[in-house]
Amino acid sequence: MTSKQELRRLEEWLWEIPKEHRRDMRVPARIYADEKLLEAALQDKSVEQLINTACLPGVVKYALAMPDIHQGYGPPIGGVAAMSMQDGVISPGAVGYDINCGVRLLSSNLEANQVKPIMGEIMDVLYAQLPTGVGKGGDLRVSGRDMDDVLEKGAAWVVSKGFGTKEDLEHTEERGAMPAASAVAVSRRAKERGGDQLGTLGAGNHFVELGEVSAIYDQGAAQAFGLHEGQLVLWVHSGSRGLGHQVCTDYVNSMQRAVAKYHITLPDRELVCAPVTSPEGQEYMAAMACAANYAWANRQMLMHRVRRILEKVLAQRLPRPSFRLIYDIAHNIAKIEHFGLNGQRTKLLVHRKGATRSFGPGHPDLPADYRAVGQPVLVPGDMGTASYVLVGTNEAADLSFASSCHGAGRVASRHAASRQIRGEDLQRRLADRGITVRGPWKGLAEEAPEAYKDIDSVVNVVVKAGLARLVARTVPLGVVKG
Amino acid sequence: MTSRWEVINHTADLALRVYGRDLPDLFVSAALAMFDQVDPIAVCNRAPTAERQVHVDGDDRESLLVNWLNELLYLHETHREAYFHFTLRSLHCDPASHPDRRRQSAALPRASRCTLSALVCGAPSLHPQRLIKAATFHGLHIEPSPQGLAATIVFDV
Repeated sequence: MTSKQELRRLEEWLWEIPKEHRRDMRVPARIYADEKLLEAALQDKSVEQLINTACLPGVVKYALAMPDIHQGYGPPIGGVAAMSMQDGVISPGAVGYDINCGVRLLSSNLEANQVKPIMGEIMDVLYAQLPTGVGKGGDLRVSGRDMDDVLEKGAAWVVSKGFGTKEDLEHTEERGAMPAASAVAVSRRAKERGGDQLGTLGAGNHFVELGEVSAIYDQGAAQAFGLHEGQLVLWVHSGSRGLGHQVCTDYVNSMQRAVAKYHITLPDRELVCAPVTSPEGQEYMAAMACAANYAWANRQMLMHRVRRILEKVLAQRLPRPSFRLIYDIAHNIAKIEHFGLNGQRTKLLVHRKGATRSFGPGHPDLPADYRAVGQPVLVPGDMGTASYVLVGTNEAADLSFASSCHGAGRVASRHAASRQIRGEDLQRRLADRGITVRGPWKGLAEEAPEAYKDIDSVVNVVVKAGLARLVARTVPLGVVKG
Repeated sequence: MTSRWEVINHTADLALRVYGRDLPDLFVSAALAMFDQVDPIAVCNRAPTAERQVHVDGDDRESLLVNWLNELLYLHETHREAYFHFTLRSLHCDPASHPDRRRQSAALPRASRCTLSALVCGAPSLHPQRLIKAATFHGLHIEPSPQGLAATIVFDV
C-alpha cells in the first residue's frame, strides 16, 4: 500500500506519485483529491492500481485519477490514461466490462412540485413496466443483420425504429455511434447475450431517477442546457449489458497471447493490452466501438420507454408533459482525441474508466447549441444526496486530457453495505426525506448513500482544479434501481 | 465463511477467496462460490433440472480458471440457469503452464496448455440476486494453502 508521505502535493487539489516511486513506472501518477478524498483512496488498492496504469507501454504525461477514484480491477475506477498512437497500447481492462456504461440527463416542461404528490405512483409504474434487474431481457429481440446494424449504427438504429428523435442523437456523445465499429469483430456469443437486452436497465449501480433542480450556479450554461431551478429532470444510467461484458471477456482472453507476442511486461494481467496499431489492437477497437454503440442504442431505447411511460402517466393530470434529452455521456471507453503534447497537436488514445469526457467551449465535436458554452458533464451522485451538471473547460485539455469525475465513487464495499443496511429500512428512511425508491432489497442496500463518497466534495475538487465548472445541482425525488 | 470460500472486502466489485484440496476441487469451489452469489435460492434448492457440457482451455491455470467461470456466466445468462453441481471429467495442465515458467518463455505456442471438460448441472435461475459481469485476472494467483490450494478472484459486478 502507498502511504501519503510518498505523494508530492503539487496543488491544493493535486497529488503526484513520481515516476521514480517504482521502477516499472513510465510516467508519474496524479490524483485530483482533497485531503479527505485522498485518505479514502489510500485505504484500498486504488493508488496501487493507478501506479500499475502508469506502467503501460506508451502512456503519456501521467496516469490520472479523478476525485471519485476507488478500487476496481486493472486501473482504478476514476482512472484516465492517454496513449501514444505510435508506441502506445489499447487495453480492454482499462475500459472495463461494461463498455460505455454512461448516463443521460433530460429536462422537462414540468416543475418538480407538480409531480411530488404522485411520485410513489410514478415509481410503481416505472418499476413495473421497465425491464430492470438481473437477467431481465426486453421485448425487442435483435439478431443477424439487425444486430450488426445496431453494433455499427448505434443509437441511430433504434431511432430509425421509432424509439426517439434525431434531436436525441445530436445530444448524444459521438451522436450515438463510433465510426470505428465493425460487427465482424464481435463474437457470436456477445451478439447472443445482447439479443434481448436492448432497452433494459440491468442491475448494480444502474438507475432511473426523477429529480429536482435545487440550485443553478451558471445561468448562461443552464439556459443553454434548458435547466432552471425547481424543474423536474430525469437521469438514466445504464451500459452495454451482456454484449459489452462478453466483448471485454473475449478480448481480455485473446490479448493474453498478444502480451507475449509483443513482449509486453505488465504488473497486473487484467491490464492486458496490445499495441494500438497492431491487428489485435485494431480488432479490439472495432469490437469496443460496437459495444459502445450497443450501449448508446440501449440507453436511447430505455430513455424513450421511460419518456413514454412518464408522458402517459403524467398526461392524466398535467397538460402535454414532455422530456428533452440534454446530453448523454460515456464513462467507460477508449477514444482517439487530439491534445497538445510537447507543443504539438497530437492524436492520442484516451482510456477513461469511470471518468467523463469534459470538452470546453468551442470544441468541434460538441452539438451546435452547446458549442459556445462547452460540453455538459453529468455527475450522478448517490440516491439520497444529489447529482451535478457541470460544463467542460478548455483548461481540462491540459490538466486531465479533458476528463472529469463520473460520480461520487464508492467508499464502502457492497458486501459491507448489505451487511449493515437493510433495503426495507433504507427505503423507509429515504421516504421520510421525500425520496421514493423502488428496487430489490439487496440492490438498494448495496447502493445506499453511505456506501458512496460525499458528492459535494468530489465536485468541489473538480471545480477547484479547473476540470469543469458548476452549472446546476439536482436532488433525487424518485429512484428505480436495477 | 464456509470451508470452501469466503467473501473478501472489495470497494467496488466482488472478491471471493476460494479453497480446494487440489486443482479440480478449487475449480468446483470457485464455481459454487460464484453461483452462491448469483442465485443462492437456486443453489440451495439443489434439484438439478438442466445439464450443460463445458469445454474450456487456457494458457495457464489462472486463465483456465477465469475462462471456466466466464463460460459458466455465459451459460447462466443465455440459458437463464444457475449451476450447483459440477463434475470435472478432465482437467489437464502442462507443467510448462506454471506462471513462473510462462514468464521465462518469450512467446507462447499456439496450442493451449490447460484444458478442462465438465458436466455442469443446475436449474432455472428464477431469482438471481446479483449480476456478475465477468471473472477478472486482477491479482489472480493460484497458490498453496493449508487446504491445498487457494485463489482470490475479483469479479466485476
